[in-house]
Amino acid sequence: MLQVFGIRHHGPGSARSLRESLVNFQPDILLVEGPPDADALIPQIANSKLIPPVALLIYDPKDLGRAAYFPFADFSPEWQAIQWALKQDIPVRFIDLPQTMHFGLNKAEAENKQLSLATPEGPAESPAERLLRRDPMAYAAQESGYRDSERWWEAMFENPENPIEIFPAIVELIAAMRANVASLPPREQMREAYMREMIRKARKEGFERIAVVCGAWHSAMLDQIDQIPVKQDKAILRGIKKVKTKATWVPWTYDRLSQASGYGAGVISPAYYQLLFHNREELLSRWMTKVARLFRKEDFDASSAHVIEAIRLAETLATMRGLSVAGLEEMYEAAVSIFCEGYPERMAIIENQLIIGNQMGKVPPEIPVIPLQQNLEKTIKSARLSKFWQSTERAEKKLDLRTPTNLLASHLLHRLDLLGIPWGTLQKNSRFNTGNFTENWKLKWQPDFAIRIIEAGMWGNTVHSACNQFLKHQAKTIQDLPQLTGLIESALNADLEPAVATLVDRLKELAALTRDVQNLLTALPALVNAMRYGSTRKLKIGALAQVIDKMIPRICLALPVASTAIDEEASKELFEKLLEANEAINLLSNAHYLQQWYEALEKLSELPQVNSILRGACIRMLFDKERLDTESTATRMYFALSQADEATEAALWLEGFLHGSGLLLVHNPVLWNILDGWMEQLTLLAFQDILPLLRRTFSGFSRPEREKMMALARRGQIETEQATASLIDEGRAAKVLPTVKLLLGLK
Amino acid sequence: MEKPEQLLRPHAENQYQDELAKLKELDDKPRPANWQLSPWATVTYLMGGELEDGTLIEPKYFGNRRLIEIAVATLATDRALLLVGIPGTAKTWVSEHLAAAISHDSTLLVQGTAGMNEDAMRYGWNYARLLSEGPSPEAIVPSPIMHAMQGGKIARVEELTRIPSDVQDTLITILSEKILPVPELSQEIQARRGFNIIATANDRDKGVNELSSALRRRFNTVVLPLPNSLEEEVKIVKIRVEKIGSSLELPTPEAPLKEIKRLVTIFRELRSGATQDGRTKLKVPSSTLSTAEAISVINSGQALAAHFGDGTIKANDLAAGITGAIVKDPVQDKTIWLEYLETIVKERKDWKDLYRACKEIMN
Repeated sequence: MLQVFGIRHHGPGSARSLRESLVNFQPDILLVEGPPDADALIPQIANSKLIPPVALLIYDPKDLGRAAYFPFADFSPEWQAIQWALKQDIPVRFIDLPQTMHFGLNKAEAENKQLSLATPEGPAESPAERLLRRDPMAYAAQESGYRDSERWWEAMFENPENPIEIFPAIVELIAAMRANVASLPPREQMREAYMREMIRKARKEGFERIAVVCGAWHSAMLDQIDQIPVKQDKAILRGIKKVKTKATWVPWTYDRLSQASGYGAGVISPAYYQLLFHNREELLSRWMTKVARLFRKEDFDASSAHVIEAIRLAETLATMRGLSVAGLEEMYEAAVSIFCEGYPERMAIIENQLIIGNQMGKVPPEIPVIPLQQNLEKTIKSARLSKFWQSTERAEKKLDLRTPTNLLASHLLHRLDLLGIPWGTLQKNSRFNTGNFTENWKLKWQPDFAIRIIEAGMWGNTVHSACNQFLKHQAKTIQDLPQLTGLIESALNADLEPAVATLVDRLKELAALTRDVQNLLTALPALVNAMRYGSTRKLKIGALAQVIDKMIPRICLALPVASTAIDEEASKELFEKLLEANEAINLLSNAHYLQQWYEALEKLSELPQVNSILRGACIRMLFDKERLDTESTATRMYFALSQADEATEAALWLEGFLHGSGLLLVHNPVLWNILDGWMEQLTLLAFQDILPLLRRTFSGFSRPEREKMMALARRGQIETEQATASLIDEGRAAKVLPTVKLLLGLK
Repeated sequence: MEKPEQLLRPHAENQYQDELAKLKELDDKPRPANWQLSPWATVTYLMGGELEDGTLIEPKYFGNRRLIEIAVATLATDRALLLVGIPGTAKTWVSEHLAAAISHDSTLLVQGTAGMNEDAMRYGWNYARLLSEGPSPEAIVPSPIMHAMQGGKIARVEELTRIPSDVQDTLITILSEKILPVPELSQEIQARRGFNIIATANDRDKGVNELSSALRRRFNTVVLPLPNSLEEEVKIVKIRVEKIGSSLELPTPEAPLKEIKRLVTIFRELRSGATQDGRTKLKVPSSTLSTAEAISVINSGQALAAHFGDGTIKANDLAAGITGAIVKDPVQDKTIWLEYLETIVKERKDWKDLYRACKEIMN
């Protein structure tokens, strides 16, 4: 006897009914729609250390890009059925078209496509047809006006009187639906033919009570097995080439089980489904209590009274809409009204935990090696790092990025670091920057890396693809601008172009939103660096340039406001950042940026509320780039130093103005004289006050600079006319040039 | 009573009495005690629709049906309803029509002001009577809320957040115990079933009296949003501008759709913090930028064009109005507006005139 159980993948309603029906049917074999490549892994489902959500991973060991994932949650009907069958010692088999054949077909298709440019493609499926095939229940629910198919399921089938009648009803329903479908894509036909063949095989082996668990869509066609000629199925399956596969379990997350992650058979709310599966009777009160607890964690008011009122509102809403049970939408709307004072934005804070849930599965270490690890080991070999692999001794490795193997090693170490496996730490002692050709790494293996590799396995099968996936995932959540630019730099170092594109997109958003100019200023040098580095690597950096293009006007506009009314300490911080940003903008040498930047600096230098150190620094930057001539610089300096009553202010201004180098004093007698005059008119008390400040400024200069100044100071006021009038003797100067050229290696 | 058409503005229950009567006649769903219509019929009255006998119900609220459902469900659970939104989102309009549908009486209204005292919420005294007879139930002058409690009706409180906090808190007893104590008579008024309160509040105003959390907890809040799509908002602005223009007897130049569209686009983008194409995020200024403000910008532009220009609205006529509407905080908003001009307006192809006009004003 054969019974077909058509289910909703990841539908808690069908999971519950399925278990009850199986107990009733008492099968002697359980056949499940799933990849037979993984038959050997089925017994692991009884292993208590394998904690869902987990996924079966089937892959081609020769080409790790060819892989398929089959996720299970504990509310997945397949998972529940297999667990029950294993407990009863009933044999379990997967009966879907094996991935060995799928891969074989994919390979053949890819080759075909290369051979003939125009491959004849059937008419494209409409979204409704696609939904009908993938989740006919959702289609039926939509047709009858339900947005959530679980609630449709409840309304249709959760009839407490006779749950067993559900599955024959589904088969009939689907049979009616399928009667209107003209033809299936060839791959679907093969799958169903294969499943029927597997059922026939089980019959031949003498099993008498066969239970088949499959997606509702297929149920009718498996139920009609006796009407379909064996010959026809055999013909469909003839001649399919096979590719060898391997299979293993990998941990999965609710996040990746959700529709939002792009998983085709994903569900809207894994957390809600979990609740629906385990606590159906108390669903509403548990869900609302969870809302309250999550809000409390975020420091919002959420009392039990709120919970009670929210439950009442959700129930009334459901009645008004003619529903017997409040669904996700009613609960959500009630929670917004009661807990969030009507603002859905506040819900967004807890939405991820509430709707998606943050469960992550676990896979015990005794389960076979995952492909990521194989790929990692292979890469380590080709990067010549094998002797450090799994060695807990601390070791050092110097990499010359001009040699391919070393470059590979560098990429690998950067990538592992990004994946949260800090096998190597980059030493910064060699004044590392992205233009440099050597990297020094310290390598040390930690025992827990083994687990982390398994965890990272869910992101991809090669280090490269896992890294890209992981970074793309991170890009969604990251909030901190400097952290993000840091990530972009690392991604460039790790040569992860696809991830860089996503990160840059995120950067665009964050940079536009941030009100903190400091953050923008901090981010700018790293970005400019990344852009220059990217351009030498021939990466596509257009997007990065666009971000910078928007960022600089923003910085320039907001800088004056951000620099006013801040204390000395904050000013000093800003001073450092200003200098770095100035360097970065100068490196870009774009006339438009420079124009805006210098205008901002000029404005800053004139605002009286801005700390003197910043104003001094601005004048210096403008002077260095000849935006201000000596005369107007002298005027500004005279003005800054003329406020005799606030000697500390003047000293701060000097610190800003003379940052980096004092040579301009030596070469500009006008400026020197202003400084000299100012020093002379200082009272003894004022001089004592500012001496430490001045010392700090001047001690930063190089020794020869200071000696020169000393000599100048001994002479007192310099005769300016004499100094400017001194002419250069062209003839004598020309004699030196050959030697200078030789020294600079210009020949 | 005067005929509705003679009045400048008739009450909702009078203006739409035919619709209400028809709805009541055909309404077969259960009604909460003292409600004139069932919750279903109330929602239909607000959102419009066609009844079984073919009567057309005019839509009163253009927006999300689910919000109105939440509002009505709230009133049905005898929790008070708080409608929140920036000015010009039809809060008062919705509350009036809800009261009209549920109690057939939208007149029990307390207008919240900064200077009001508790008497306006509770009751006052007829002093002549108080002096001659001493305190007695006859000497009490009931407030609209007290009326509503006695009649099992809906009372409306407008601009709740403008009311001083101590006066606001009078509502706590009324909403939680459903009684109004009269200590002078050692009595209390107990609310009849069907009594409830709809309050409205403005969430963008500065200097308002925030609700205490004790009071806030007694309300279910529904936020009425701004129009959903650009087209919808442009339509509302255009219709309103045409109506206002005719009643003010301005020599109206045709409000050009192009200018309205640009203006609404700017307002929507700054309000939502993203460009329409969703590609660039923006900072949000402190100004409200409601649909109502867009209407007044177009209106003043019209006046400028009619009296000082050649009769058609140009970018120059709007620039001052737009800038004034956006820059409310002279430091932060100015930066945000300049940033928007430089990064967005400047780069749009047909917006050069607007960019120049606005830059001129900013300098």
